[in-house]
Amino acid sequence: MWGEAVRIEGLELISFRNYTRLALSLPGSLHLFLGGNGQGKTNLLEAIYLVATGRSMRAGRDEEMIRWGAPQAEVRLEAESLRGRYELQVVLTPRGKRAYVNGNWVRRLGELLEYLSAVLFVPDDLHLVKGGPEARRRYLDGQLVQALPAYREALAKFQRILRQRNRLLDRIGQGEGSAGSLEVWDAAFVEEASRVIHRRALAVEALSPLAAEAHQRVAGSKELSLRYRPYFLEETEDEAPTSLDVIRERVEASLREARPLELRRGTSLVGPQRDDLEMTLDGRSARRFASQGEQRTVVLACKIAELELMASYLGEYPVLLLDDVLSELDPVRQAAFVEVAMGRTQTLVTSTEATSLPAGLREQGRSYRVRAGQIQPEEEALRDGSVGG
Amino acid sequence: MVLPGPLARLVEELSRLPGIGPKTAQRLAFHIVEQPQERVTALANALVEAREQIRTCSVCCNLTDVDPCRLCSDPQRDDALLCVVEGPRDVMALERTREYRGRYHVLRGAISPLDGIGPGELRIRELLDRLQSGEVREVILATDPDPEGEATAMYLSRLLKPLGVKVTRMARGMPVGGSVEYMDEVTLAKAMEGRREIT
Ligand SMILES: Nc1ncnc2c1ncn2[C@@H]1O[C@H](COP(=O)(O)OP(=O)(O)OP(=O)(O)O)[C@@H](O)[C@H]1O
Ligand SMILES: [Mg+2]
Ligand SMILES: [Zn+2]
Repeated sequence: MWGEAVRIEGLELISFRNYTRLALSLPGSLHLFLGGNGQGKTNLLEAIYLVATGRSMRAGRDEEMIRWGAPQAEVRLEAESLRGRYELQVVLTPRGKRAYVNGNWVRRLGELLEYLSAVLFVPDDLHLVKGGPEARRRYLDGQLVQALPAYREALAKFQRILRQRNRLLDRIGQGEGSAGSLEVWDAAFVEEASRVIHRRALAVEALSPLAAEAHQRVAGSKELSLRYRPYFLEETEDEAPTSLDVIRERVEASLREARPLELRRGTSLVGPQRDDLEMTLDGRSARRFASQGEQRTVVLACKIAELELMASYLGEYPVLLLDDVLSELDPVRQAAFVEVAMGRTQTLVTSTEATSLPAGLREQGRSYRVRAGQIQPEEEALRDGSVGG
Repeated sequence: MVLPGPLARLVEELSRLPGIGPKTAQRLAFHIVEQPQERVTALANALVEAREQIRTCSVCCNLTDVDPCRLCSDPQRDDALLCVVEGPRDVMALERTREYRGRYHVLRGAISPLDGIGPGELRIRELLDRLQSGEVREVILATDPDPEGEATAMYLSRLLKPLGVKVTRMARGMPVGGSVEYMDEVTLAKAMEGRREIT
């Protein structure tokens, strides 16, 4: 047995994407799903991500996940973690989605985040370093909403206030409201914005050494460092404040200062929706200077750090979902990643080709064949003679 | 199968109700047409009578069948205390605690630019009218503890304080993001007791 880790024991899909009906049990810690393009590998991980977080990592609309022509879709998952055994269920209909824990309807979907914790790694994540700041904020938020209920609450509230405030600024711009009506949102805006920034800054303080260590193991050279950069930080300031009181003062001051410009532009110009996560290698911006290979190593280190940070917050390792990313890495990085992740977490890996996976992986894990919304253990698939020798 | 016209119209009307989708509407419609005539007549009359007889109290803006409503005309209640809530169901929730003995004022909503609701859409002018007489000594803001409720409380406190009336806010400790109507009696009673003056 391995250490404390969340474990998915079984999964059932009904009319989900290209699965008509699937029942899968997942004993053990490593599972490899192999199959050609368009067979349902990502769909499988999407279903797990849906019951873990209440949303898809890719669908624009929830309805897209319902099998074409079917009235509704259902995902059911059984897992065991520190909080015991539980069953999660999400039902998708054209009119919305409903979640159940152990058969009981949960009023607020966010409650799902209390249960199955998961770290997802997809090829898109490889743009983490070079891409826009929203990808890096999403990287932070993805782990914090799962690990910290108070963060989830603050972020949801902040986003709501931000939308209200933006709509109001827009209306004022069209002459439909007075500038004074903006002030009633200020106190709450400052409070929730500050809490979001505070939590993110603390998390990055904890993430940075974890990422540096992982990077050292994979790359062997150059020191990786992560720093949170709130929007109010001056170019000349190196460190973000980590005291909530100081953050509150800065947010409040910036809000006051930005008001005239916000009124002119008709949208909010301050707040954590403009923050960034800075990554440096030997003190230089990775976004600007890292080579392609270096960027990949940085992303890998960030993902390992995410896993470790969540484990330290939650007291157990989340499930690791790797969608077609191992094949994007060279053998050295693959090996490093496998060494860190496997043995600590339950890991689900998808790949189009078995040969692109690290050699040891297939012996350690169970392989499955994914084909047109059906999943069969590899041995059975071979026995059935669907694959010649 | 194509629904017969009258049945289709019933489905159509029912599915306009909040929380009722086409499936449920159909189930209800089929159920209704299988009921004895008296039951259906009773239902139809209840709908029409409720709509005809329920109106807005000219004092507190709550829904009522007599104007002023029973809470406004009850001589036992304390005119010096005025509790401001978002909706009629919040009044019911607070009444269930049997602790509060003052009067109410129902805003019929909360400030929400996303829904096109500004202060002008709320029953605030009526509230100001009630404060004219000088009988009210304390206004308790009991809007929901979510962003819209907080913004509404903030707006009202800024509006009312210059009038010299004491303005208090129901205590924190109400579940965050919750709403008054869903709070249990004990929590509500405590929140009311622990209200604080807004500075
Ligand atoms: N709502 C739906 N109903 C039925 N089929 C769907 C639905 N949504 C997507 N699909 C189909 O599911 C198939 C499998 O998608 P999936 O993303 O899981 O493929 P994959 O195995 O990950 O492939 P790749 O290796 O290319 O990433 C696609 O061909 C798509 O057409
Ligand atoms: Mg895929
Ligand atoms: Zn009344």
